[in-house]
Amino acid sequence: MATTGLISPAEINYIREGFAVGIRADGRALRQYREYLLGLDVISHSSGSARCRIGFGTDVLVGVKVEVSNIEPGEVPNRGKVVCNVECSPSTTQNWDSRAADELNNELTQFLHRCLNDYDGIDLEKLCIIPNQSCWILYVDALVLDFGGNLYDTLLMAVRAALFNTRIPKVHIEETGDDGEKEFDVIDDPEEAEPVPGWADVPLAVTLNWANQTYFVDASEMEEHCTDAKLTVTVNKNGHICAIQKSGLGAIPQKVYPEMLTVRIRQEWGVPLALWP
Amino acid sequence: MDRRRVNGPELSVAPLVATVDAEGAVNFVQETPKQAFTPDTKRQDGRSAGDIRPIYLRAGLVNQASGSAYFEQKNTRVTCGVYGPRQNKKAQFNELARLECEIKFTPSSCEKRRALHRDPEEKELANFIAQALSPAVKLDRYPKSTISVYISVIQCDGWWSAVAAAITCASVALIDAGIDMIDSVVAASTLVANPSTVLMDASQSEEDAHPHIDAGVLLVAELPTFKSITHVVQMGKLDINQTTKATEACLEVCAKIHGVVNHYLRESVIQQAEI
Amino acid sequence: MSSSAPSPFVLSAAAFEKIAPEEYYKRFTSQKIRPDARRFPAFRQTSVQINSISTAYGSSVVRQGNNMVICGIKGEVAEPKFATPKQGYVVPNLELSPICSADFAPGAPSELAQTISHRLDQLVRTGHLLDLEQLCIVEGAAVWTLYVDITCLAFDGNILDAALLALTTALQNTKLPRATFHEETSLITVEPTSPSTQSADSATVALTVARPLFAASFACLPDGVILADPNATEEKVAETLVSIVLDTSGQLAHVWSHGKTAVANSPTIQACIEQARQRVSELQNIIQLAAPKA
Repeated sequence: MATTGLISPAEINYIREGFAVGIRADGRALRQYREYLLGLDVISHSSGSARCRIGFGTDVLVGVKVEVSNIEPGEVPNRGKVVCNVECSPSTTQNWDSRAADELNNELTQFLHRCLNDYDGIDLEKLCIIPNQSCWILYVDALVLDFGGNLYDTLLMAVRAALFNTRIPKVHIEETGDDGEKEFDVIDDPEEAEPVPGWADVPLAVTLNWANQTYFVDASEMEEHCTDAKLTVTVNKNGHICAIQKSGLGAIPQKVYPEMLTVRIRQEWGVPLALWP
Repeated sequence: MDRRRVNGPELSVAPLVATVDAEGAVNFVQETPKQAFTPDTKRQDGRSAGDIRPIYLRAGLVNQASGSAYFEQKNTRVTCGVYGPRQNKKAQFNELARLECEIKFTPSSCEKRRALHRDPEEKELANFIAQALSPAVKLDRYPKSTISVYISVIQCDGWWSAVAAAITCASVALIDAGIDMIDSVVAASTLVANPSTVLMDASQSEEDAHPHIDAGVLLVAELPTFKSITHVVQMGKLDINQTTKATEACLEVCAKIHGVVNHYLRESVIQQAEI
Repeated sequence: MSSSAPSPFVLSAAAFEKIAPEEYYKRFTSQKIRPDARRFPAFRQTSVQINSISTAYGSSVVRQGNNMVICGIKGEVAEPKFATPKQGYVVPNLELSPICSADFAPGAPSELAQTISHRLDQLVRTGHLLDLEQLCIVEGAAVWTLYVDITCLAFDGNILDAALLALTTALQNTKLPRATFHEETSLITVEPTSPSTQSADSATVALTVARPLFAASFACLPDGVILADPNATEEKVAETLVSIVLDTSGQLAHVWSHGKTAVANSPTIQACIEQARQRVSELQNIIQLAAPKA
């Protein structure tokens, strides 16, 4: 995040010097998360939803809607679809003008799209109802209500929780003709609904912030202004790295980089592991 | 509908590619079968797994721009123009220059026609490229100004190789523009086909043959002299050993590309001095 | 630099050109020469390169002096208009990317790009450039839409000539894949083409351009000076700009004339047409050189 009028050079210097000796403004250790609140089923008309608030700062609301969609000719015949959208309301923080908010929305939307769609996570093939005809489509909509740093981690936490909370109705498939044509009925009974296939493989993100020759997790808003570069690593429950993305305008030394990758989500950091099987 | 452009019919679709056999049955052409790689296997175009396609590099092709470059690796062709430093249009004072990046894939650059306006993918890539280049540019030397980097992908043979090419090309264009930099930025991309074959600089057909479900892509941009990573993107599930191996392979190739860039820059300076 | 007496004020040529471009040009034109050493009726060196983009159905790269444009043609399938069930569409668009000149901003097309795109569209529609019925796949149901996208990578004035040359040559070298209509599913499919088999085989159909069109543009300066193929600076100092579009037999297809003062008078237009005729035969030689060897 670019330097803004919100923080003075002296403050930046003060916070950065703190990193070097392992002291942070709010008394946390370098690798300690803030407390968080996670609520499930917060939107009554969605198929699944969750709200995650970290350190009484960043607040993300995620709703998932499940619908039936057609598979058009030329598309992959046996796969469901996931459509993501992330929106930061401009009122969230005074730093974002509408253009910056647009750019951030796009960055987060693309990131989430990659996390859920093409790569690992949700089992898209199980979302197919009848090959070449119909499939489930998952609309994952995230709304950033408030910003206090560490957006990536909070976002993925809320998305994972919302997918855990989502139920997909069961379908009854029957063959209508001799030539293998099929039709299906959606069973309305909410008791019969199933969880999202592969939700447990959806990764969580850990963002490592590189500043003053050291790195730390879960940056607050002020700390993000003092950071040279950020490295977001998403990890699934098997410890596989699902995605890496660097952001910020600085560089990360080659020597430290492999070490940063080996940093895993650990219980003692207070990482929200409630949904970690 | 965009009134400022010539519009075609309301709806048009890319033709479906299919083969029709003698009985008239239609077979849609499926994803090409995967090739199993051993370290000795030659790739479709005769390269081995660690080879990149030969690079052709030229600077200073656009005479109106402050600096420009053209970068070609077989069918991946990228051109870049740099304008600036120019005065910041906004009145707000900024100690650092703003590095503004735009990337556009020309409509006929890919298999499927791309729209004329910038799509979300291109906006995100522009962001990546700005982040990859910024650490190299001495932004504090140009307060109150904007440096614009415009990139056009003329042809794309491998999405991530085109992005890597764009970063390297943009860095050469910045050098051509005489912008103060601490180092050139070079980038390399790789496709990790399971179990652990690292295909450097993958072409489009290789990307198509390895859907992301079971393969990973890695892009690394670095400052070779400072041994610093300026950007890294990975997609697809890999374990830590695969990631580390792929990163090392990318850095190795980055060093080679850096050699090519340096050689070119040195030669062009000598040539200019002779004139 | 000596610090003693203030040196007399000397204006460098580049500064003179910036401050008083009209006066600067007058100094040259009075000597019957242009700042880039061209004579008045001389066009800049032009070259064409054919089908270098393998992802397109047809493509060309045109260099004209410091201009460089790339034209790529992509085909898509669409429904024809009710009134013309056999005619396909040709959709030309010129993109003046921000790379090519400081005058163009990223985002929406500039006024110049809109004007040129519109002119190209007009030529395709009314200039009988090609028979749109050859784009028919199934009458009344499916036709080809050819998206002709011209991207400018380096800009130095007179972009219409370069853009039209790119459009004509790319269309002349376009090969459409053979399309099949399947009645039960009402789907249209095409045979796969690999870049290696793209030239001359049964899976593709070559497009015929019945009436190739070429443009020649001129800048009219005060005192009746006519500059052929004006560059960016010359376009700015010109009073009137004239563009002539001709076919290979020298027949007029279009004349555009616009300027800040009066419309060019008829002897001027006549003179321009004469020069344009010569230019067209010159261009045909250039295209012949670029044509793929059979």
